[in-house]
Amino acid sequence: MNTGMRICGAGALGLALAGCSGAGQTELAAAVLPELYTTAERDLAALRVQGAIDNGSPVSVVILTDRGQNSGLVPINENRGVVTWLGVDGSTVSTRDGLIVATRGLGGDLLAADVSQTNELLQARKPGRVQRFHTELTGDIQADTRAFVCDITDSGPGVLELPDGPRDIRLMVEDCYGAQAEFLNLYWIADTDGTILHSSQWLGPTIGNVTLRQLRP
Amino acid sequence: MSQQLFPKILLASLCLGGTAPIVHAETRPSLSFYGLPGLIDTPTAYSLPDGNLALTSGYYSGVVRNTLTFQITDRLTGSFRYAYLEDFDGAVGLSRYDRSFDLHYRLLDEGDYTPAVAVGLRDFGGTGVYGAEYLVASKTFGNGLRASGGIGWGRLGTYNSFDNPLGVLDDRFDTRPGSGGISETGQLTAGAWFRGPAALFGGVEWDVNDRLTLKAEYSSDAYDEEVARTGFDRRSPFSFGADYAFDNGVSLGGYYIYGSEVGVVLSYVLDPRAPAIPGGREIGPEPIAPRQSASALGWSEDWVTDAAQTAGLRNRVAERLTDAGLTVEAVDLGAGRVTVHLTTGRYDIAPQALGRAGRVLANTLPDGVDTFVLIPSKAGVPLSRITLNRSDLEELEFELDGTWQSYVRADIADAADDAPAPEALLATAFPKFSFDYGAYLAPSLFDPDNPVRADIGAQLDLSYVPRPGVILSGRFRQPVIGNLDESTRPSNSVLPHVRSDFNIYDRESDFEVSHLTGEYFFRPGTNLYGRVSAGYLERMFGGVSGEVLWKPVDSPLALGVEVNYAKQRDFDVLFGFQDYDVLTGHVSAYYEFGGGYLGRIDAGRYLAGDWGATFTLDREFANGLRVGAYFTLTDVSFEDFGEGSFDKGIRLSIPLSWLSGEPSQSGFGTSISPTTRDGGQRLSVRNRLYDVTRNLHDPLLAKRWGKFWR
Repeated sequence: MNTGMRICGAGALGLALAGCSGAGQTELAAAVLPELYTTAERDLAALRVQGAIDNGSPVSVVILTDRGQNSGLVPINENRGVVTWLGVDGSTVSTRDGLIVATRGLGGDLLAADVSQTNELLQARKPGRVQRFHTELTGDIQADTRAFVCDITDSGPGVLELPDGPRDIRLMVEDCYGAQAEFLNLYWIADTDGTILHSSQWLGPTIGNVTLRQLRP
Repeated sequence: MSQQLFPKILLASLCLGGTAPIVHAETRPSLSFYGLPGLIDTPTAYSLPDGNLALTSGYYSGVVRNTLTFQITDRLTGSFRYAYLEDFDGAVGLSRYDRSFDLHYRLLDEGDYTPAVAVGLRDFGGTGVYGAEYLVASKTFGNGLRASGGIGWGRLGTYNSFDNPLGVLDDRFDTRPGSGGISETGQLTAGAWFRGPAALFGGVEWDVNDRLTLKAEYSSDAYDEEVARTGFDRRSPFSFGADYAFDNGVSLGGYYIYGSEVGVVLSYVLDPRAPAIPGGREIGPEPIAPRQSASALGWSEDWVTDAAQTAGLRNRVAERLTDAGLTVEAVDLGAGRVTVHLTTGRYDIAPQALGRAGRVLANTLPDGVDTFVLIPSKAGVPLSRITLNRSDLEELEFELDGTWQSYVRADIADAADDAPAPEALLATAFPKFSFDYGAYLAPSLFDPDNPVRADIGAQLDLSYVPRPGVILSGRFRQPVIGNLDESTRPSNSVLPHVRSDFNIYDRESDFEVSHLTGEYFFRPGTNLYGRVSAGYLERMFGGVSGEVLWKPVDSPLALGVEVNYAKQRDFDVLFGFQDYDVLTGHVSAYYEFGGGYLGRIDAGRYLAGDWGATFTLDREFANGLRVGAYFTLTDVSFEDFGEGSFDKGIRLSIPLSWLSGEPSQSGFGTSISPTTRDGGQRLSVRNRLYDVTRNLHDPLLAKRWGKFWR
């Protein structure tokens, strides 16, 4: 019974997948490793970052807290106030006044964010309630916009040790909640000019928390 | 606040990652030995989360059930099962390999006080070993306790059964007709559904915690056949067990069943919308830089009128686009506008290629070139024309709603009249020679003589494009190691052996010419696409194939006509032909229903000369993963068709990008057809026009525009 059964292609638990034409002949798909040229592109990005650092470019460091990864960042472009920073693995982080508004290449990327209300209060170092909006790229490549309500509080003054010496700062805390998640962002802001020198920002369920620190202005 | 607070808060911020995000995930129901939502051997009324795929392998007492289950819609679940029943046909010294299809439909959602209710058909088109129907209700109580109870017919109406309550409707429900045996395999057994004695089943499950679930059930399946044929010892209707769910979608269950046996179930549930790296991990695009004048970019301000300058800028544009992973065929530069013919290169998601091309153009061209016209092509034949405004790109790059706004502002049009001007063609574009090589793996599973066969070998692809529209290409294969050639089971088909001699091809071929063809693509007019292919079209047939497709650039509907003359190739898969030839062809209608559902009907004449139609329904996720099913009915009688009665199957394709998180045109596709017979078989021609065009048309462009800015 059932003797002529023939299954073209997939193994029992999807372990072996291969191509197969519609007509029962076994056709095959080559098992392909992730493309080699992307490795070359990443190497080029690393060289570019290193070159910029050697040439005195501003430098920041980003730490993907939840993944235990970190990278030096150099600014490569600015479009209408949004600065895009390149990392050594070819991924980019874009900031507006130190607030991260986009990433590319981290997986589950933040496509865009509207953090204008947060920015306004942080610049003024004022507490208050704000809304922030994130658009993230889902696994089914949809641009998914989420809204959060955040309470910004002033946690007081302090000193931050930087390579070029201590800086007087004020720590502002942004406590957010929304249907998708609850998270806490922290900003260490320079007293002198309002620059965010060090921060921890949540970028979505895939990337999680990111620490961004200015190393060389 | 003092400074001491800082280390603490910093520490808190570092620890947040594991705890802060509260992401609501759908819970997945536990699966039974049948690979569908259920307790141990009986069903529950639940469903998998919409769109999820489940692979289940269950073993007990000489029986293995492997099941692929797909949540076709929110309510409808479908399964294909391949089971091995050791010594089931022991009288003639054989074990049974059985395949079956199930459907499960959730009629009612669970309410605060009302249960979920589902109806199901098991093995509705197979040999009937597992044939059963049920109506089941399930209710969740506090503390993770769920109870299910139902009434079953067929196998589920064999223990402690009673007269069919449906008998009050019609006397014919009182008796269940017997299986017609192998000759009726594959036909819908609708005549027997819900007929004959019925019985009650039920059970409870309890979530001890997020991972561990305990189960107890009372089954109304008497296992009559197994008891009689294999000596299965069914001592009790009760079974007990536990399920443990791991984080990664894997569950493992262990059971003590029917008072005598121990069984295990391993299942893996996969959400096609949740690849390991959502949205991909490829490197970021070059962000858009402020506009610069021609002189700032190193060109003279009169570059438009200076031929040498224009040529230089054209080359730079081509170079930069190539660096970004695109393949450029032509660049036509004017004062305010650039027109680029290109292919999406390595990007399987076309909008990503378009978005990257737009940014490259914005960063390469002098101020004043405001309109970017992108013409995605197949071998120089334009498939659509997408016009982007430079200022929109600059404005929307980091806009919250930039994805949708950029789609709305892009103009997507037909490109029938947009063949590249000869002077715009790049010197490198035509003629173009390319090659690719690699290893291949060809498995053939579940042949009763040997459930696992495979060949591994080397593969070479060659392609030559002498001028736009013409592709000469070939694929050559050399198996290195394998045992496909050990299959000796002869075809008993009474039709011309157009497919059922597949194992003779495996035995008699070594180095093979998988295909060797010349193809010509052209645009007969607006919304029309044409193709002519000739040569060794596929592994078993050569000949000539012609196709015309009507597909407006924004239409969910496409219509096509294909006519082929095909002659069967020699079993050595080299250059000779056998005597059999046939005129075959189809008219086709394709429709995208929305929500990722794609329907398709192909009606016409098949390879064995039979006339009929193929019905296909696919569900395609925006990221490219696709699951579908098809069946073909032709004028070949079920009897002449042989085992299976008519051709049908399910298919699954997974893009490599889904697995690796890197853009790639490669992927893995498989078609699982319970039987390979000769009725309802189509010629396998590459580059059918619908597949060539739809990636660069709406509605698919819109659906995938999320990667435009990625």
